[in-house]
Amino acid sequence: MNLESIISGLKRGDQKALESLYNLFKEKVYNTTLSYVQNQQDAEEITQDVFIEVFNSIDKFKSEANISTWIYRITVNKSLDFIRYTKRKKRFSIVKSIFNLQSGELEIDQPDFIHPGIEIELKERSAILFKAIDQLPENQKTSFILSKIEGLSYAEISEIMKTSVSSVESLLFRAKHNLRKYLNDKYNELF
Amino acid sequence: MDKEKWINETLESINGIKKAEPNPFLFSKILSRIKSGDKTTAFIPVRKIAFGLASMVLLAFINIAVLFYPTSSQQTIESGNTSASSFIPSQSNPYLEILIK
Repeated sequence: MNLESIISGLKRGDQKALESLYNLFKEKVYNTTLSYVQNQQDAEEITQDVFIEVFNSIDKFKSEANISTWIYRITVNKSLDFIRYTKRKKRFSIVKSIFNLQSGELEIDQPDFIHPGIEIELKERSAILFKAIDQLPENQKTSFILSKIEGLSYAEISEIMKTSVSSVESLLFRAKHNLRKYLNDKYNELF
Repeated sequence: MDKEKWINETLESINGIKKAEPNPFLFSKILSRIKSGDKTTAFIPVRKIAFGLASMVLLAFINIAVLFYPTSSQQTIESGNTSASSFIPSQSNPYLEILIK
């Protein structure tokens, strides 16, 4: 099944077409969202959401556009929405714990994220890097993940982020600068 | 260890990262959610909620203010009416009664 017939199949509500699309894009969607949320269960939940959104809103997709760009855009937006939601929930639980000190509930920090695709000897280092990536502002984080982890070109990233190639370059430059700053502090803390 | 070397090595630790595979049953979950008519999880922005609440409070405040406090224009009309009523001749005015006679 080629992409055109998959898209026309999706527009007819064909679930076989969805399965073909899923097989083509499942790794891209899952790995992108995994780099954002840094948790496998949450990444699977968002991957489900992305494909349901694709199936439900395929009529909004313009056939002259690139389906890959469209799916990546949905993935990035869903991942960022999820991060904002969890951060809000975390802030709310902190406020709640201030007003409800007697409940004895403790805030449990997430363990370090170990990406399943990282080689054993690099796991510790990559966990530190993923923690640093998590600290980046949204746009810098998106450009870094799409470029360095997903391996997309600047032109593809600029289409996904609806910005210019020069803006992507600038975002990547600032992302690397901020990561270096974070790692510099981490080094001082560790050694 | 040299700091610069350590930073560069950490930055390069994701080079050649392999793609992770999602759960093999993930597509069945997607299908069952679609069949049950499930929409994607909606995260309502906190700003929208705050804006809605602020609007409701403001509307309630304006309503209460309108109910309990007369506006300055109403006061002017009322005070204007009071002074005008003093010019209306009263039937019990003794001077008027003399004039009519």
